[in-house]
Amino acid sequence: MIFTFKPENVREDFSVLNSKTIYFDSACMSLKPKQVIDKMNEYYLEYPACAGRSVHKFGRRLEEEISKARHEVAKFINCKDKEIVFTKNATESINLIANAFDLDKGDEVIITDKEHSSNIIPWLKLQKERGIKVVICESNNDNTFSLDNFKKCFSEKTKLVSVVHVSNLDGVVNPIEEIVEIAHKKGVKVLIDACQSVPHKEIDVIKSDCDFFAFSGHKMLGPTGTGVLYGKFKELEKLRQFIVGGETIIDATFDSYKEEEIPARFEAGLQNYSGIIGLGEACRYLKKIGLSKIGKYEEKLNQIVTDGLNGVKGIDIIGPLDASLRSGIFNFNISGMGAHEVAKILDSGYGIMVRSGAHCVHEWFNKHDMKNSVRASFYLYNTEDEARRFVHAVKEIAQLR
Amino acid sequence: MVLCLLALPIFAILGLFSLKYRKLAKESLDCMFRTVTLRKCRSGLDERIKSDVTGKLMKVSPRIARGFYKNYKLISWILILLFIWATYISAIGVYNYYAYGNCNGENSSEFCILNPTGTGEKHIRDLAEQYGVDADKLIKCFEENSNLGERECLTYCLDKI
Repeated sequence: MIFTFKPENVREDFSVLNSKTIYFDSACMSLKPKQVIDKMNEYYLEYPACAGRSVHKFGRRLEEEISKARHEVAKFINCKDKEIVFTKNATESINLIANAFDLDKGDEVIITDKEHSSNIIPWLKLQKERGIKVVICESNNDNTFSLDNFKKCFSEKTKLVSVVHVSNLDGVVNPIEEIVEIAHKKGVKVLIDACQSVPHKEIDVIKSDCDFFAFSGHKMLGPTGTGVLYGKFKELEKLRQFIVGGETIIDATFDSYKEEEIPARFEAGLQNYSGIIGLGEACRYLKKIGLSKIGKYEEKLNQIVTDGLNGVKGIDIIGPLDASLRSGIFNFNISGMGAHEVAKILDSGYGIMVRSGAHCVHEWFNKHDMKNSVRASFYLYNTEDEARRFVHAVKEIAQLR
Repeated sequence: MVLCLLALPIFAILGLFSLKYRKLAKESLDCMFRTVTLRKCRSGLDERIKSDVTGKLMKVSPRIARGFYKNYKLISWILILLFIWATYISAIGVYNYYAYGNCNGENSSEFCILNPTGTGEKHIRDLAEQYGVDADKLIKCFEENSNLGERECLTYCLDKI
């Protein structure tokens, strides 16, 4: 049981960690604590049944556990249980909105120039197939969100704003409350891609007033193949069904069918039950530690790394130089060296695992005429000593040139 | 590119036994094919090998790692030339062994890896038949006097037998 947050205590819950392994790729995939794994195994070992249809005791137990998980997730972002739709991941959540929200030819959707592929490709697909228009809101020169540019993006045809909360590119936090306020004043709905914020920040969807909110479980200590779409109940009611089939209807004839209640109408077929239950446990685990503590701790780690590497010859930091503006993400390049090369040397020489590539933000790299970068992302199980070892390693690698 | 050339035969042989190396061999082949058709190698295999080796050397000495990183093309070419030379020598050895029963040539009884016990047994049996002496005795005599050249040894053994 963890009552006060100390990374050394938390690390005991992550069996893959040891003194030789430094995992700095949590923005892609977080590690899973044993509590989550145990909870997932519990499903397979104790009640491996179907939910929502079987009246036997396994079925009833599963139904109860799914309800508990939904409640945990709802509590985690401060909404009602029925406003939580379980999906496969945030990509599916955003695709659900793209396909279920009322968008017709000529309607406009505003996104930013730093969106993950998951929040640009679905809209580009609609642009191609349905004739909607995707409007790009340019960031400031230091990669921070520009409210001025954002205000200029609206037109009478704007129907939806779909923006990232915390960028997976550089960790910059977008001001979602202001974004929502501006959009709502113009009668436009807002979808937030919260993949990089939910695992690290206290979230209150009521306070932010956004209409839809999407995130993945695998970045927040939860299992892979789990995602969530939050929607204000009245907005979920307006959505068309996207994927249909078993569990999404109450009754059917050969001519028609009657839709299930929300959220079941959006959760087609048998679900990833152990994953959903594991996600509920991940929420419980993070809540117990406290998201604000985690967020502050990650910023501290980022500060250590930024202080150690800012100004080192050949190292270019992507995003604002102020570490407090980049959450737990440190994205950089070493001039004259390829990103994959740096990442591989970090791995084979120092046991430090980082991500290299375009981080699914290809459009940003293309715009800036860059190929890729190296990204280190921190989480609650990383230590200050690890951050210092990373600084030392990157400095040594920079001297290879 | 250079490392791909070097990696290809190694991964091709290892690929006979493991799927992992078969994939790497295919990447090396693709890289080599693209190189000889004057296109850029796209697999990144050479970069991966270079980074992997550099990383491992970093553990030993950053200075050595830096030396490798900066001169990896030269080092790769040296290794390729060594590889070609070793292949050439091995081919000659195999031919000699096939033709004369000894990988070092017709008139040699020096150590041969293909026949570590000494001069080619088949060859000595042929000699025994040619000179009308007991083959087993001749083989034994050759083994006992392996420090002599083949011709010297033959003369000595024929006298002795």
